[in-house]
Amino acid sequence: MIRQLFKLMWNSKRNHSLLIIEIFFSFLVLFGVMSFIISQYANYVEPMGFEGDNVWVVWFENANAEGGSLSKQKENMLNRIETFEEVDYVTVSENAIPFGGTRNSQSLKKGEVEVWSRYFFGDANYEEVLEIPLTEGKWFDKNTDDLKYEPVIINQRLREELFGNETAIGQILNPEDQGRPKKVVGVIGNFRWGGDFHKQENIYFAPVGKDRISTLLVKVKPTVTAEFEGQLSKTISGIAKGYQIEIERLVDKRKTANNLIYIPSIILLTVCGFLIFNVILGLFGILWANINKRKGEIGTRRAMGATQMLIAGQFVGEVMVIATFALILGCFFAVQFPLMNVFGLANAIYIKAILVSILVIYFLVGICAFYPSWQASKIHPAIALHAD
Amino acid sequence: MINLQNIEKVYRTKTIETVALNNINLSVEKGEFLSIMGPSGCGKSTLLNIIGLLDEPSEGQVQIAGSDFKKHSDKQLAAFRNQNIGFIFQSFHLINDLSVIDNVELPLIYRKSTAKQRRELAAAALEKVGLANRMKHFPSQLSGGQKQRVAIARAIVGRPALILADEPTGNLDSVMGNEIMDILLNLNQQDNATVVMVTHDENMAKRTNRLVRLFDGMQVQ
Ligand SMILES: Nc1ncnc2c1ncn2[C@@H]1O[C@H](COP(=O)(O)OP(=O)(O)O)[C@@H](O)[C@H]1O
Ligand SMILES: [Mg+2]
Repeated sequence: MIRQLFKLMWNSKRNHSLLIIEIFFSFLVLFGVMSFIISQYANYVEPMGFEGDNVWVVWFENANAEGGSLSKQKENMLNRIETFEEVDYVTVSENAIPFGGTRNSQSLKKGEVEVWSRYFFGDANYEEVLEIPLTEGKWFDKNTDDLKYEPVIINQRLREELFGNETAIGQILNPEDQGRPKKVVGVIGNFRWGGDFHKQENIYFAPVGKDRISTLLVKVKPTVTAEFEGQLSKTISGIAKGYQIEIERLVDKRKTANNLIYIPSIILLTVCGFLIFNVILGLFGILWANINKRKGEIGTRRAMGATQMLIAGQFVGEVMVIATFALILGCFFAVQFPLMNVFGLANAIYIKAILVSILVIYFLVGICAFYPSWQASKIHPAIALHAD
Repeated sequence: MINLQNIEKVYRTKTIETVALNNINLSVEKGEFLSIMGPSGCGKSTLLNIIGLLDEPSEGQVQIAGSDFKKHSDKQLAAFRNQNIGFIFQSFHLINDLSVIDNVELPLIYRKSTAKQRRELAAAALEKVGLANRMKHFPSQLSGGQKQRVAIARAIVGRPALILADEPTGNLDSVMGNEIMDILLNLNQQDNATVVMVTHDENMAKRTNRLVRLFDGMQVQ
């Protein structure tokens, strides 16, 4: 039965070429969209590596101020902020503002191994403010300060790329550097600073310069009210005279960052949905026309011993076979992406995207073949034969 | 082989009631070759469809090969047709996208069989109708007479005891028609198949064992 079905559809493939092409393109579009969504989802389910829910960012803005002019007030300012009962910790950061830090990269060398990594500057409190768990060593503090070496914290991914299975703590990086070479003092897990959909990448932290103060991260108690924001802002303004203070919540920044993925995802899915809906309408129309043209055949098959079920199965099966032809063609193109490593996504993501797209196409095609085929099976054989 | 009692068939729509068959009593012995004649619209096809279990009578009893047909499921009827009845139609009803041999195999895919068995049986059936050299052709490459011979091969491939032919020569010229008739007679005489044939052609009817004439749904001879 299945063999004859394939033979029949193979012999009549030219009549169905339009449909095959439509399904083929739907598959490719779906595959593209699914690759994107599955890769985003794969990122989404990874741990963030930090906790920013009750963290506020304090920005200082003053066009006229010279850089570093706040350094004299730094000590005083941090002490004042920490005295607030509502504040757990405060940290000074140069560029390590989650959900929107600046992007600096540098190459790290360990013997023959050279690896690029993004880097951030933070101070001793950074770990506490963002609740970053360390898997090895410790965060930098007074004791890790070393005139000869710049202490750095690296993330797990970077650790694996640089040292493999060797111990990481105490390793020296970039020994030929003009300034201080780096010394690994701690290892963290993830740090997906860009948001819930941010992919893992190589990251290291180095201590922020002693006098520098460009941004603060303040971890507040979960119970604080909006009034406290005004109070904090006023206090800081009082110390940082001439500066404009702006306070932003990390939860809001996180939402904004996530929307950069959510919104295109929704647009992609909608466009893809419309496209596939069109194909399905076309398929539906073709099936109806097909069944009306083939009443004689329906009657003949019934006369030869086909049950109603088998007639319905015949028509559903034919469409499934057409879909199979289109999907074989589609898979041939889709597998080029992992083979040629086009967008640098993991192979597993492409494979999942192919499988999901195949299932979706079969499901939709099956659903829309079902009703016309079921109607075809209900045509009385005598009437089907009479129609010709 | 066939026993029909008081068969009545009425087609009803909202506005019209058509009596297609009225009080038909007919019995056909095993091995008989019966022809049915009558003007267009007199109910010949309806009668053949009832004998072939493609349609149910409004009234009366149908008995085929010793079985009564009341309240049979779609599945049982399909299996019975598949095992016992071969159909031949005026317009051949071949599937254009299947090769000759695949067309002939059609009834066999609706029963338990292996690909090898199907091939062998289909080849034997085509041999019988003289088309062994056309197996890989497609219907569009055949003449009308050849198409009908393929249809006959398809009807006999499952070795049915009963062959029902509805104007099998109606679309053919007399030469081709006679060829078809020869094949049917041969099946009747050599293989002892029971044949019921609807025809418009007196000459064809004369070559059969018995003739039944219908007029306006009634048996007149
Ligand atoms: N499905 C149907 N619905 C309504 N009337 C039908 C149907 N099939 C046949 N008829 C009517 O029944 C009568 C007999 O038809 P049919 O058996 O096809 O005649 P024949 O084969 O002798 O030409 C005709 O009047 C025809 O119009
Ligand atoms: Mg007729």
